[in-house]
Formats: sequence, structure tokens, C-alpha cells
Amino acid sequence: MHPILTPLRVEPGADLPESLPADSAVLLLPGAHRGALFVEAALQVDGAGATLDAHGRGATVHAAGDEGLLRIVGLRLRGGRSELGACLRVDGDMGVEAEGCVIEAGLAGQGGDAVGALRGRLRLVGCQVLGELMLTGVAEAELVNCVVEGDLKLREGASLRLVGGAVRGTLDLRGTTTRAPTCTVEGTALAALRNDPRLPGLVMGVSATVPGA
Amino acid sequence: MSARALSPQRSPASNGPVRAPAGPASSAGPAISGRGAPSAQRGAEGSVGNAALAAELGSGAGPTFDDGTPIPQHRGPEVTAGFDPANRAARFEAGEKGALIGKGTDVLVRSGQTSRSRELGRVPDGTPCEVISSKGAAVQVRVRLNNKMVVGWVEAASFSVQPGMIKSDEDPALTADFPFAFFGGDHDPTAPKGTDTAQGALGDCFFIASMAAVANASPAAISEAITYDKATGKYTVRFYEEGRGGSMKPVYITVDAYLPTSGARNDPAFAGEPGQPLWPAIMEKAYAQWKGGYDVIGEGGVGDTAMAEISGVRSRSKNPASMKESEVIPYFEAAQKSGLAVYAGVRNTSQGAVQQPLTGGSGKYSGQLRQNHAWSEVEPGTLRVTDGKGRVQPAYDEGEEGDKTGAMKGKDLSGGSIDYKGSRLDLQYRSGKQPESASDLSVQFEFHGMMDPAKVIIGNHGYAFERVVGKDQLQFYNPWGSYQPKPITAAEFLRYFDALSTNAVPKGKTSA
Repeated sequence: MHPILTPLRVEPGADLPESLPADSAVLLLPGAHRGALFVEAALQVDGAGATLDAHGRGATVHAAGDEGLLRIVGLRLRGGRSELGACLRVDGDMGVEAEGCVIEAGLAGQGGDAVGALRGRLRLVGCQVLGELMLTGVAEAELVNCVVEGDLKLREGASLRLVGGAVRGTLDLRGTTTRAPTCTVEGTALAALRNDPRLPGLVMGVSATVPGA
Repeated sequence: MSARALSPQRSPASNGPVRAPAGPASSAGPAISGRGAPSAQRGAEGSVGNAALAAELGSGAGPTFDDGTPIPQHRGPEVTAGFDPANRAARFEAGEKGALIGKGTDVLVRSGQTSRSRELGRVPDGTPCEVISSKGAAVQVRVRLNNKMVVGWVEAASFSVQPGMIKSDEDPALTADFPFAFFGGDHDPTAPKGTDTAQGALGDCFFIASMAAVANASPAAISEAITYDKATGKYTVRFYEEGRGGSMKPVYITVDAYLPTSGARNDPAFAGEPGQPLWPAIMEKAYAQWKGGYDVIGEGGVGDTAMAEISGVRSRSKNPASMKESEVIPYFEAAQKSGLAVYAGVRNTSQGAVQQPLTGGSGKYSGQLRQNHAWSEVEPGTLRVTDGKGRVQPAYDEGEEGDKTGAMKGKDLSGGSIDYKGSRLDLQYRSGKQPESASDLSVQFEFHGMMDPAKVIIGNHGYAFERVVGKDQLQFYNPWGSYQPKPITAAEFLRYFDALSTNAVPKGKTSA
């Protein structure tokens, strides 16, 4: 049972709050918001019609907490810059859910110029990812009816469940000598699949299209 | 503005308790059936730390780690491959990477598997190669011979499994020229320190800087992770693999002392320098072996993960952009006081100064863009030319990462190009469209390379934190072992760095 939250309303152009107690809710009103979110505890962010632009000041949304759920609805994330996961980065064990969001490509030197996760549980529903999505380490993710315009890279022991939607880039898997990423595909249209022949991942399920492996 | 939702900021000192190596997380061992690596490589699944591993092995004989537990000799391809020559060739699988070891002499490559087969030529001792197939006591390999990649047969005894090599920049079909050579001595790192590291011709600064950061925080964490076995002449390196929920599982990788070299045979091509301690090169080689090759770790990585894999303790990452300037020095002071390993990464590009470098007229303009340093280059896709008087529409490039040149686009342009490396810009406007003066055209772009020549801060590069200097400056260590940065202020740290991770490295039994 979710607590009843009274969201903090933020007008476009207004400063984002410096910090908030756990289980807070924020409503970003439609329009352009400048800033980035560094999240260490449960938070709900509603932002239908709103854009959050980090303007190169770190990942636009960085989920670093180990507990709780970050939930983002209807927001457009852009302008992020991070070593991994420019506009949405997950490196804590917390859960992250994004619904109806558009996540643009930013600048990420080590992969995932749109989304990157080392840990945590990431769930995207009905989202558009306009760049690369990279899962590594022990990240778990589920993409339901999402469109990923760039590559979708799985490394190390990451796991992914794809349900519907499409991956317009390459679904690219590579493990190590001690573990392998796993991907379950349920009716997702895949443009291309690359599974490293020496250190392959495990791909299961049925794609809506059958790319050349 | 950054909103730091929601809990109070962690200071680096609150990095959490040191986690003892725990058992495998339930999800740490996904199905890996069908993969190329032999099952013996998969590490200590089912074990809980070294004690459990010792119990599993059931024997106290043989070489041990510093904590008394035996080195798991049956794990790791090198040890397994070396014991039974009869089985050795049969184990080689297509795609296995290695080197041809002639023990000081060139290695003969033949067109077929028998001694009567035609001689294709001889390759230098230590030449990297890749297995195509194997039969009996012969192995079919792809190897560089007289500057061409050829497929030929060699004696199985001359093939040694090695981490995969990086590809040549000029021709991806060729492996780069980094022949392996044997490095003897320096078997036990007794006092490792961050300055022992010297990154070579491999893009694994994240790992080298992580080794340096861990060594700075706890020399014992390095020395206790590496064990030399006199009987086999090989090293076993203990890493840790993170499972879900922060559990850490030890992984043991055994490698020999053949290292890739460049130029002189005593000059390691990657981590290490002649006369420097050997441990960084051994640890790097084992890491490459674990992750799938030098080529794999050369693609880059994340310091957060690498420090955890070396120390056995989960790292904590922070977004420098979420820090206030006033928080930076106290953060590093707390990290230093707590003895944490600290890795920091520099952003890959920076905004260049607006400039008016173009000359010319009658619709044709060209110029040399000023860079802050000879290493700096225009970042593809970031160039924009605007006319201060608004007589022509903005022009921009559509290049992508890795492009050497790019075409200029714009509503009023008929042509134009940018040489990203040489920073040379040419523009040609449509007939009847031109600025009033070339000096009206302003150029903006992002650049990569040297972020700050005065402070020697290099872009897209990892550093190990060393110490707070005075009261308000930070000293970092460049894992190259050279081009050391000058101390920087909190403002400069926030301007240049976009990655920051700390790790509470265990101090180890032998730590002071």
C-alpha cells in the first residue's frame, strides 16, 4: 500500500529542491526544468509535459540509494553527462521505475549515453530511449513496450527482460569468463543481435522479428 | 541546480562496514551453458570465502594465500593447460587467444599439421595468435607473419593461452605488434604503492587508476591478492565478483609471467615500465584474462566496479555535479582520514572558447581553430558557426564519435568541412549568401584531449586521489605514471571531473 503523497510542485525555471525526506513526491509542471536529481531514497517524480535538462552537470537522474523505489512518470530527461548512463544512471541497489518517459542521449564516456546501470532494479514502461542503454555489473532490468533507438548492451552479470516494443540498434551481449548476462525476449522487435562468440550471454524467448545473429 | 533527493549526503567516511566475502548471491551464477570458457574457470561458486574454498579443495598441500588457504590450482586455464600435454591440444577451442612461445627462438608455422607440410615461415618468439582448430599435437592458428595475417599449423607445445590482444588501429584485421616476453623475478610485492603503476598502450585507465587508489589506501590489499607459485612459475590473483545485494565472491585467476611488450623485450606494452615493480602488469594480465582479453578491458570501464573487484568491498559512487563547491574539500579530507581508496574520472569533453578564426570573402571562408593544447581535438557533432549580424543561418557539423572529418551543414551553406584532428574549418556559402565580414562568424565547439594544460588534466581519463594539499587543493595521480596533474581547487575538480567513487579497502593482515 503506497502512502498518500502530497507532491511538491515545481514551476519551470524554479530551482529544484536541495534535498527532500524519503518518500517525498515532486510534481514538475509542464515546461523546461534545469537541474539534475541525485536520489538516495524513495521518491516519486511526476512530470507529464516537463523536461528535466542537466545541461551537462552530471547524470540527469542518478539513482544511488540502496533501498526504496524511485518512480518517474511522463518526464523527458536530457542533457546529462556521466561516465556511464548520461541521462539515467543507476548504481545503487534501489528500484527505479520510469513510465511514459523519453530519455535522450547525453554524453557518457564508458557507455549508456542515454541509460546506464551497474546495480539496482530498473523497470521502464512505455518509454522511448533515444540513445544507448547499457546494463552491466549486476543490474536487473525490465523493458515493457519500450523503444530503444540505440544499442542495448548487456555486460557482466546483468539481466534483462524485454516485453514488446523494439530495439532499433543492436542487442549486444558479452559476459566474462565467470559469468554471463541473460536476456529474455517476449515479442520485442529486434533490429540486430550480437552475442559475443567467446563470452556469450544467454538469450531466450521469441522476438517479433528474427535478426541475423 | 541539482536536487539531491532525498537522504542526507553520505560523507565518504560512511562508506559502510567492510563486507566479508560472502557466498554467492542467488543470481550471481546465471546459466552459462554453451559458453566457450571451460567450467573450471568459473570461480569458487558455492564457497564462502577462503576457508570454505579450502574445505572444498580438501587439501592443505601446495602454495597458499597469505591467510593460509590453498591456491585453487585446478581453476584457471593456464594451470590446467600446463599439466597434461596429451590433453592440452584437445582443449584448445576455436577462438582461444594466445601466443607462440619459442623460449628465445622463432616459431615455425606450417601449411599443415604434419612435419612434412610446407613451411610458411617463422614468427618471432611471443607472437600473439588465435586458435582456429587443433588436432593431435598440432594447433591451427591465425597469426601475423610478415605483416599479413595467415592461417597455419604450429606444435601444440609452442602455444600458450594468453589474454586476447588489441587490434591494430590501422588495420582491424591485424593484431597490434605487442609480442609476449617472459618477465622473471619480483615475485612478491611487499610494499605496493600507487606510484608503481604506469599505464601503457591500453585504454584501461579505469583499472590502472583503481589499482593505484587501492594500493594507496592499503598496500596489503594488493600484496595479499597476488601469490606466486614457484613450482609452476605462475601467479594467482584473487579478485572479487559482486553479486546482487552487495555480496562478494572470490575469483581466482592464474597467469604466467609472459607479458605483452612494445619495442624492447624488457618493456611491458601495457601496465608497467622497465625496472618498475611487476605486480601492476601481473594484476592487469589476470584482470584481462578474467574479463575476456586485453582488448576487452581496453574498451574502458568504471572505477566503481574495478576497485570493488580488487578490494572485495563494494564501492560508493557520487555525482560530482551534485556536490557544492564547499563540500568538495571536506569530502576528500574525510576520505583521506578514513583511508578510503578514491577513484575520480575526468569528463570526456569540454567547451572551447568562442573564437573568430575565419578569414576569406565572397562566400568562401577558412581558418584554423585554436586549441588549448596539441592533444586537443574538436569533438565531432559539437561545432557551430554563427553570424553575429545574422546575415547567414548557423552552420553545424554532423560528425559522430570516431570520425576524422565531417561535412558542414546549414541552410545557407553550399559546402564545407571540418578536420577534427587538425582543427581546420572550411565553409562555402550559397551564391548571394555571405556574412558581411569573416570576423562576424563566431565558432563554438567542444573539444577532447587536454582539458587544462596548466593543471595537466586530461579528458576522458581516470585518476587516483592521493591527498589534500594544504587546506584547499587536491592532488591526484595520473596512472600513466607521467603527466602528473598539479594540485587543483574544489572549483576545478567540479569543472573537470564527472566520476567519483570511494572504496573502504580492507587494511589486510600485513597492513601497518
